[in-house]
Amino acid sequence: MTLWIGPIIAAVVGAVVAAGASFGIVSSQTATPPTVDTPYVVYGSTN
Amino acid sequence: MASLRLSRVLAHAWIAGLALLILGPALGQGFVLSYDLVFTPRQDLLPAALGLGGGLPRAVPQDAVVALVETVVPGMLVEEVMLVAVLVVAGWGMLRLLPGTTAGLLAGTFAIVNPFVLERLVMGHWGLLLAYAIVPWAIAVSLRLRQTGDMLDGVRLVLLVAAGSLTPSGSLLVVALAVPLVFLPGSALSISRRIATTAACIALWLPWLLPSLMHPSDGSADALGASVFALRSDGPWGPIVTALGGAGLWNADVVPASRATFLGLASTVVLLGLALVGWRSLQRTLGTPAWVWWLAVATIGLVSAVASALAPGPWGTLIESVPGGGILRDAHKLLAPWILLVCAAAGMGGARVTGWLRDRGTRITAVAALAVVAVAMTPDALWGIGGRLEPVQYPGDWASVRAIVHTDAREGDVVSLPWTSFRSFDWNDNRTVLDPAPRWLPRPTVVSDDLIVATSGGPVKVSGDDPRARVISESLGAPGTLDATLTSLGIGWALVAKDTPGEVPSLGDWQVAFSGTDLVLYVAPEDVTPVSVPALELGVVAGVDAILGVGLLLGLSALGIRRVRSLRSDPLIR
Repeated sequence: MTLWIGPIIAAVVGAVVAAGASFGIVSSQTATPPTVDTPYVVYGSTN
Repeated sequence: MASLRLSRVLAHAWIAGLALLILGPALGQGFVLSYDLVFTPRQDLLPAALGLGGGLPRAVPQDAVVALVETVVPGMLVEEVMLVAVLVVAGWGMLRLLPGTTAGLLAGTFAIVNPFVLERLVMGHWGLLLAYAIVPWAIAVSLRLRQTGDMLDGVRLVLLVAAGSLTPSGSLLVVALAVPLVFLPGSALSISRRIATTAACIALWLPWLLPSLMHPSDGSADALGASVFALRSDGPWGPIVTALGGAGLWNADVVPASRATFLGLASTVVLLGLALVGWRSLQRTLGTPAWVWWLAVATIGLVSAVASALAPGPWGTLIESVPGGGILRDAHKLLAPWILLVCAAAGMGGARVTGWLRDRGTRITAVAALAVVAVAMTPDALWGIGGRLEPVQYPGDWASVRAIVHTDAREGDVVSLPWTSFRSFDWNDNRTVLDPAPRWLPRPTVVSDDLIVATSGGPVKVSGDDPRARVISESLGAPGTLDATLTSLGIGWALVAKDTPGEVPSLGDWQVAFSGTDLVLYVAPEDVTPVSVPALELGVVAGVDAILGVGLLLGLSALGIRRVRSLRSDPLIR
């Protein structure tokens, strides 16, 4: 029975990640956009 | 028995592995610099670390503890250990608190892969997260203390509260959830011991409470700050559903992208569904008094957080009028008791649901799948939280400037320019990060403490509370007066960061003491009389901190002695 664990988990993860990728949510978000042209750095955004 | 032990080991290994998977590259060589998360190779123990700087003591005693630890451990290692600890301690705490490996494993997984933890991690609020992680341990010890009345458990509780009390909000969280349990009906402790335990835990507030009382400002926040930092809906489902799932941090830039998709809603529904199934089991595990107390605190926090979004006006007025209300202005923090409760209940619910399966192999598969699905529903949680946490190396200029400021005999504090609170260095991939100068330099460093937040109505400035920073801000509005203003404030040095947004004002005839690729250091042309913290204030705060530190070391020693004695009395060892 335990032989099934790996494939099942892989299928679940694969499906969810694939669904996430299709929505464009699985991507590297390495940084906030550069703000070199602004006179200050904002703490964050509520938008 | 061997099977049970193996399952416990595997559950602990899963939590540790998950923590490593979430942090991923963040544990590489260098420093992770993200919003308020700032570590440096060596932070000095300055008055600000004791809460006696210009502003409110928000990172107290956190900065003092970090400074003391970094006298023997490199800052990079301290940061990495703390990042791992906030996740692993939370997960293992659920394994300690809840009966059965399945409940603990699932609750532990939920407790570290949820929007509350992920968003706070990117914001760099590791002190609050450490308190969050310690809560399950503290509740477990409190429950045992209620049953046994053993004062060594009281000592354990005080030590746990101390570990969770690196920030004011963290200490309030741990104390609010764990300490009242010793007072509730059914406690085996005598009244005097209940009072003693509570008093010892409350005394741990003194490191930040004393400086707050001595601070010139009243510690309250303005209504504008409360509205800017109110709970924010992370999807079209509104603030109530957002809050129920532990999400809703004010800063949209740190919210995992998956939270705004169907996955965000789905993970909340699954979590709440399992929590409903496990609700009664958790009540039986904790006992009704403790369960009711936790539920009451969690509900108050949940309602308050939601109120900040639904009724920002009255919420802002409340925060403004309550002394010390500044601690509460970031309303999302108030969800910590709620999300911990829901995770614990969901763990119990998951154990109950999988327990319905008769076949052992199927049951194990279901538990594993449930844990993995919980992670997979926030796929951007993994590997440095979607690449948001990555280590970088400080340019060499920082060490050079530190060395000059450390060795140069000319007196005066330092001002950090450009005059903005946050930095966006290209060598840090332009991530927003709090100005690292106060933690790099071995002298008090004045920085802008005004917070600028982008809102739908344009940028909003939330004013800081450091009197010297306020004077400098006013001086910048009158060109040509800055150099004289700085020297009048006891500031004899100016550190200018080159590659970050912000205008650098003229410093008149100040001289260049160092000029590098990334930093320029200026020194005032004349002698400056530094501003010193009143000796009485410093003596009182340092004295109280030292007494508390010695007391905690004595408590730790008592536990160690008890441990050694119990090992010696073990016939297998003797």
